[in-house]
Order: sequence, then structure tokens, then C-alpha cells
Amino acid sequence: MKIGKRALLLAAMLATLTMVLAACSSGTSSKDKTATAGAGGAKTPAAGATTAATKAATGAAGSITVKKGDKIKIGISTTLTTDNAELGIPIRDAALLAIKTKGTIKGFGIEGDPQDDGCAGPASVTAANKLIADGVVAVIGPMCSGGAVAALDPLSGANMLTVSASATNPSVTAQGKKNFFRTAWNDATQGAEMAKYAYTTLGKKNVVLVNDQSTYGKGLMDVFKASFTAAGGKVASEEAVTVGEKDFGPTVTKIKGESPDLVVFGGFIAEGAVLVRQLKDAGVTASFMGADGIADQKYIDQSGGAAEGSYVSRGPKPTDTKLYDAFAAAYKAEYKKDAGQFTEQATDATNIVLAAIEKVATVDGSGNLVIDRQKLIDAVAATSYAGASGQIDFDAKGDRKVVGAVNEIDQVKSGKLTRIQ
Amino acid sequence: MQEWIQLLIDGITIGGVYAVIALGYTLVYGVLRMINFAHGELFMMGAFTGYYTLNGFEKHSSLNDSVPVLTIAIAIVLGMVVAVTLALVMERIAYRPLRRAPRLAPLISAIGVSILLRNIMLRATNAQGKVYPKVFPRTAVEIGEIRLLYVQIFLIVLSFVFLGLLYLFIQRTKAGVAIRAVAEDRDTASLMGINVDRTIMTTFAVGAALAGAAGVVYGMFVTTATSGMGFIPGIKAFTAAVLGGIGSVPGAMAGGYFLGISEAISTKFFGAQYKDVVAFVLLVAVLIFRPWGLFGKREDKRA
Amino acid sequence: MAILSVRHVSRAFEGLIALNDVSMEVEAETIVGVIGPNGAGKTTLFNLLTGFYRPTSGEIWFEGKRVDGLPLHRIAAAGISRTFQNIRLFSNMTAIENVLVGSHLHLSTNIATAILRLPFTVKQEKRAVQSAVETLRFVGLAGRENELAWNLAYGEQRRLEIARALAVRPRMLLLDEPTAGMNPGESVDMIRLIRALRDDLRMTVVLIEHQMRVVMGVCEYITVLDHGEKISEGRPEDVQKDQRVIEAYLGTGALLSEGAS
Ligand SMILES: Nc1ncnc2c1ncn2[C@@H]1O[C@H](COP(=O)(O)OP(=O)(O)O)[C@@H](O)[C@H]1O
Ligand SMILES: [Mg+2]
Repeated sequence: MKIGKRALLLAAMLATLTMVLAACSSGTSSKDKTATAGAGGAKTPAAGATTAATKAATGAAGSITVKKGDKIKIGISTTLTTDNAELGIPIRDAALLAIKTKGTIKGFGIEGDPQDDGCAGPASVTAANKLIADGVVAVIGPMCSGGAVAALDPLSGANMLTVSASATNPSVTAQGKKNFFRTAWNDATQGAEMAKYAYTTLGKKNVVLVNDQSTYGKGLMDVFKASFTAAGGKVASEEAVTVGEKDFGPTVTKIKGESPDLVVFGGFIAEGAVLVRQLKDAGVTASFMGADGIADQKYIDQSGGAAEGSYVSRGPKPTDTKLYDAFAAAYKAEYKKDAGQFTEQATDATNIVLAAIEKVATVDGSGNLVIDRQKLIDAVAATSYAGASGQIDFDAKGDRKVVGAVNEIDQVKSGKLTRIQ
Repeated sequence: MQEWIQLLIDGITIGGVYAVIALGYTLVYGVLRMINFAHGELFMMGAFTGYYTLNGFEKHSSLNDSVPVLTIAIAIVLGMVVAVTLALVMERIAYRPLRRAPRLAPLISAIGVSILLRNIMLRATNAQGKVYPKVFPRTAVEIGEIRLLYVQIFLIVLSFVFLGLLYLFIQRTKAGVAIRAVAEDRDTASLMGINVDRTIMTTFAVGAALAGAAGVVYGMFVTTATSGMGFIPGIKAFTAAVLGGIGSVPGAMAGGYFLGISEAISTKFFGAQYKDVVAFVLLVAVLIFRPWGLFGKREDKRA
Repeated sequence: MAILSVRHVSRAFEGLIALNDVSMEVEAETIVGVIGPNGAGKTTLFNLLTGFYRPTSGEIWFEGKRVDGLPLHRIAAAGISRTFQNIRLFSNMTAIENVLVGSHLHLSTNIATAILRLPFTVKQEKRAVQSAVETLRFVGLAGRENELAWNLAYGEQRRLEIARALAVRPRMLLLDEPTAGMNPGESVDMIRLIRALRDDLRMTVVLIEHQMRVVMGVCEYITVLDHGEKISEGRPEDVQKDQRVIEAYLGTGALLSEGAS
């Protein structure tokens, strides 16, 4: 029986550990935590880089060599498990489609190397190290901000070109990593625009903020709060939900007690859809506002009708939708599904990377393809690209330069996202 | 005041779910001294079975509208059948061969099964959450500010019914007597003519039936089924089982409600981001001061 | 005809031969003693008879059926039941629940009948409880039905183990040191109970015993083991005179005195 108790304790510890890990990985809001994850990962990339060097690169340091007959590998760091995979898998699919469409570069085939980054620090670092060891030329991703912040340490250590389609938190580019770019929009602008729209246009004065404890969700709500209170609005309370949970009863009860006139949510589809429905079930009449993490038809479908009327902020679609429509049609033809949120940014990120490779890659005397990592990064920095998500130019931090409107606001009308600003 | 009552109701709602799932942990621990970490996934599979069943009725008939009682009953029964089948297969393939292995082996095997089931459903659904058709009207009973969805009442009542049935089963049936005997002393039980293998299978089956049924009803309540939805309730129910005293049937029941209500109330005070912390502080406190649980029996008192 | 036939049974534990080529026959409705110094292999023999261990070689036949190699619960169903040298009750159950576990084989209640409480079920449950009460009275535990097993006195626990074994409705009962740790008064009661098992319930009883007074007083036939081998068998008065038996017990002083542990 003594052994029984010990096994029990062991199991309990294991469970606790799992929860703590899950909590840490989704809640990398503090700088310290990020730093630790980075430092932990910092040692491994050196080893990873060595492996990569022996395996794929034989040329000078800082360059990667693809042997004659081998394929150019493009890493894809995105979320393939957990409920967040409903955003992550389409991102992967869009990147793979762009690679397939491109076909070859200078006679070399191209293949995608998707790795699950768990939408969080530790798993994203693991995915990054795996991709470095696999000898990829560049990485599309990581999908989530918390993961990107942590994974950028090993990735920049390997001087790996990294382009994310969806990591939107300001902290990601604030690190000043020269190898990182994003085709997603920085939340610093998005959060402020949302606050302005809520306060000025909608006339909401008393809000409750809900985040999913991710770097993205918490970060977006922090920006919103700063702008909203600066404008004179009141944040009645800040609540959180746990990714993977489906019953937010007590949180909803608490929100109801605050009688807000708007509930703002920073997070992704699964939790957003559940939250908006349970608010409605509980008789909360306040409007609901979310951001690009839920700007997808799946949010509406999963809400069982409760999403009707909610406001959704997202990066602006270009006024000329020709390129977007062409991409969406190609995506639908390939996967028999509608292109969802972030897929257009993912296809643009991939195309930018492939074009840059084409530009800098040279074939050496033995017929191998040599790609200089720094030149590749420089080529992307100089990119000016008209893509499915609009015109893309990068600023010095790797953020997308704002052209025209900085974001758009949609509203769910008759079960569809409809642009209202 | 009304907010407190509402929070209490919220706690009882999820607490009942924890309690029903916790029974599976406690029963299996009783007979095998093993934590079946894949148990939460049986709950998830129940939720998916419920979805596929009700969605099937929705698409191919009008039975959901004309006789919802029937379609819901069928969904619950099928949820139980699927969960039981899976539990029996996993017992046979992943646990039985490891019965004489070191304790860590079946534990790791269970975690493996859990990951496998989650990923199978992730692939099968292409990571898309499934939305239940509207079988239950989402209307509510309202008393002042207090609001109770009908489906929520159904969930609360059904949890009580399941707990009652399980208690009856354990106390009054031949198989229940066998489970209790095997839990106390496997070898002696078999000398009393009890088929230990079959009793262990019965135990898995009973726990799975409860989890599967709970999955269907919970799925109707939250209206979605996703591959990850069993994970957190599974861990919470395990916590509830340990809180109550693992191996103890009344303990698992009480532990479930205790945890659900504590979480709801702590949300009011600290916000939901700390409710897991509250749960695990409770767990650690219990393990330190009352390792046999709030309701479990102190083992060193035994003869 | 012999009810039990042990044929050239051996059992080794990683090189240690606990039982070596032992054969014995037990006639129906007799009381047979198995004696021998500590470590002679007596408990091992019981463990083989009840299926706890399988013989390394040899066969065991019970009522004309081969039982070695059968799973434990099948042997129990075949009609062999036992008690333990170290009491192994279901200590968190009441006395009557322990006995009801024993009668488990003969119940047919399931969850449906438990809910519906059909007249048939109620009757069956009543009968099971009634017979459990009777069994408890038979072993001298009347009035102690609802006591938790671990609250019972030591001698009562030994009796409860016998009651539980009886509930399986065996035809042969194996008792491993039924008077161990008992005072003389309790031992006398136990002897009376063992006789009653045979006389009233027509049970075949095989018992392991150290107290010679008990062995000589109650057994009609005795098998002597030493170092895993059968060194003697026969009627008590003959065995007592056997030179090999005297040698085996030499120095232990146990053969004629009050009893070793
Ligand atoms: N499971 C076992 N593993 C190893 N040795 C055992 C086992 N069971 C019994 N033995 C050994 O077999 C011998 C006979 O033991 P046992 O049958 O208990 O003797 P007795 O009951 O006559 O005192 C002893 O030496 C004992 O150590
Ligand atoms: Mg012995």
C-alpha cells in the first residue's frame, strides 16, 4: 500500500506539472519567462546548427548548400495539435500550396517541412531546433506570438530567415531580431484602432476585457486597455479563459455582474465562439468584439448563431481584391475548403521567401545550390511585394509598413463577416 | 447574493461533470492501482459520438424536432457504447500486458493512449470543432438575475442520476461486489470465485460508460466537440478524485463538486486565470495534510 | 474414492525446491492434517491446490477433474476454498459483506435488477443475506454481522475467514494454521468448529497445524512434509511413532509439546 501512495503522488505531480507547463506556455506575458525560454533554447541551436551544417551545408559559414538532386527545404512552424490547430493547419496548407505552385528554383525541387509549434514557447523552441537540424533554408512561422518570441532566439542564432504570417504581438519585433519579418499586422496598431472604434464610433464607455492568457491575447487586450482608458473609457474588469476549456460559466457570471456595454476578447476561435455563446446564454446583452484571432467563418459557425452582431477587427484587405480572390480560388480548388484567417498572409510569406531564394541562390561548380543566409535576409528586407493580403513592404524592425487603412472592422451579419469600416 | 447563487450553480454544473469523470479514475485506481490518464479522452469521444449521432438525425430526419427525447437517449447510449468499446480495447492492448510491469509503465502507456486518441480525432476532424445541432432549445429558467439553461438543468440532474446509479451498482450488484472485493485484495477475491480479469474489464467499462454519457450531455451543454476537450476536464476530474481520496467512490463524487464550486468561487475573487492555481493548491494541501484524501480511508488503520 | 489426488507434484522457486515430487490422496469427508517444520512447503502445497501457483511438474485432480493450471476463480468454482496463514479479509467491508463476497458466485443481480428491484431479485438478495447470517452464526459470529472486519477480535477474524470461505459453497476447505495465535480456550472452540464443518456440513477439510494437540485431536489422517518432501503419512498415532518424523522435529521440540510457531 505504501507503494500505492507513492505512485499516486507521482501521478499527481505529473498532472500538476502538465498543468503548470500548459499554464506557462500559454501565459508567457512576463518578460522573465520569455527570457528563460530563450536562454534554454539558446544552447541547443549551436548544436542544431552544427548538425545542419554537416548534413546539408558544406559551403562557407553562414550559407547553406543544397546538394545536387536534393530538395530545398522550407520549414513551417505552426500549430498542428490542440484546438488552436484549426487556425494552424490552414496556415500550413497555404504555405504548402505556395511551395507546390512554385515547383522548382533553379532546377531544384522544393519541399515544406511542417513542425508543430504548439502555439507556445517551449514547443516552438523545440520546433525551431528541429527545423534548424533539418537544414531548412527558411522558416514560415511561428504561428503564435508567445512561440515566436521564444523561438526567435535559436532561429536568430542560426541566422535563419523567419517570416511569420500570424504572430502579431508588438514584443515579437520589439526584440530587434534582424532575421525576422512578418506579413501579419502589429497589434500595437490593431489594439489602438479597436479601442478607438469602440469608444468613438460605437460609443462604448464601460468594457470588460477577456484574454486567453496567450502572449497574443493578453498583449492585444493590454494595448486596448491603454488606448481605451486614455480616451476616457472604463475597463470594468479584466478576465481570462483557459485554452481548451469549454465551460466559462463562472467567468460569464462575473462579467454579467459588471454590466458592461461591450465585452472585448483577445484570443482564438475555439474560446471566442464558446465565450460569445455562453454570454448570450447567460443573458448578457453587451456587444462583443474580437480581433484577427477569430476573424474566420469558423468562429461564426461554432458559436451556434451567438456571434451574430459581434465586431471583429482584422488586418485590412486590399481595396483591389483580385490577388486575394485568385489565391482563395486556388486554395479552394486544392483543399475543397474556404481559405481562412491568416492563409493569405501565409501564402504571401511563403512567396516572398521563395522569391528571395531565387534571387540569391547560386549554383556552384559541382552543381550544388548555395544560398547565403545573410543575403537571403537582406533580399527579404528589400522586398516590395503585391500579395493576396495587399502591398507588403517591411520596415526596419521587420514589421509590415502601413499603407492606407491600418485595420478593418467587420461585423457578423446574417452569419457572415461583413466589412463595416 | 444572486451572483453568488449563480456562481454556486456554475460550480455544481461543472462539478457534476468532474464527479462523473472522477468516478472512472477512482474505480480503475481501486482495482489496478493505476491512473488511467486516457480517461478524459473517453469523455471527448463521447462528446464526438453525441455530435455525430445528433447531427446524423438532424441531416437525415426530423426526429430531433419531433422526438428529441429519443434522439438524445440514443446519442447518450451510443456515446456510452463507443467509450466502453474503446476502454475495453485500451485495457486489453495497452494496460493488461503491463499489469506486472513497474508502476510507471502503465502510466506512460496511458498517456500514450491519450495522445493517440486526441490526435486521431484531430486528424479525423481536420482540427475543426464540431458544433452540435440545436436539439435542446437554448432557453432558460430565470429567477431574478439567476439563469439556468434547460440543458444545464438536464446536465445537473443527469450527473446526480449517474452518481446514484453508480452507487447502487457498486453496493447492490454482483459485479459491484466483485469490484469492491478486487479493489481490496485481488488474489483473495479470485479465491472467492471472482474472475479478476473480467472484473477489471467491468470496472473500465463502467467508468467509460459514465465518461461517455457525460461527454454527450456536456457536448450538448457547451454545443461543441473538439479533440482537445477531454484534457482539462480529465485532469480536473483526476484532481477531484485525489481530493476526495482516490479509490473512494463517495470521495470522487464529493471531490468533483468540491472542486467545481471552489473554482467558481475563486473565479469571482481572483479571476479565472488563477482558478487552476487554486485547484492545485487545494490538491497539494490535501496531499500534504491528508494524503488519503478528504473522504478516503486512512490506509494504515487497516488490520 | 479420493476427492483430491496430488500426483508427483513439484514446485521450485528460482532454484529453491519448495516441494519435491509430493503425492497424496484425500478421502471425501475426512479431516486431514498437513504438518512439518517451518519452511517444509505446507503453505506452498495449499497455494498449488488453490491455483496461486502452478506446479513445476505433476498433476492435481479434484473430484475427477484436473485443476492444476486453471485460473484461481475457476478452481474456486470447482469447489475448493481456503483461509490464510496471515488473515486476509476485506478489512473495509463488514463481516456480512465479506461473506456476501464469498457467495458472489451464486448471485445474479445486475444494475437493471438492482434498479427495478423485481420480486425475484429481492427474494434472491434476501436469501443471500439470510444464508450469510446463518453462516456467520455457524462459525460463532452471530450478532457481529455489521461490524467492520478490521474491528473484529483476532479469533473472530479467523472465524470470519472460514465463514467467507464457506460462502463459496466448497466441498473441500483448506485451513492454513487456523489456531495460530489463539489462546487455549479459543483453540478448543476452533477444534469444535472444524469438526462441525465435517459432521454438519459434510465438508472435506485439509488443515495445516503446528499445535500437536489440535492435530492429534481432530485429524483422522496426517501427511508430514519436510524440506519439500513427504516423509510420512498415516493415522496420527502411527505418524507420531515414525522415526523419520521424530528426526525431522528433533531439536524443535514441537512434536509432543504445546506447539511451535
Ligand atoms: N513465492 C515464493 N518465492 C520464493 N520462495 C518461496 C515462495 N513461497 C515459498 N517459498 C519458499 O518455499 C519454502 C516453503 O515455504 P512454505 O510453503 O511457506 O513453508 P511452510 O508453510 O511449510 O512453513 C520456503 O523456503 C519458502 O521460503
Ligand atoms: Mg506456512
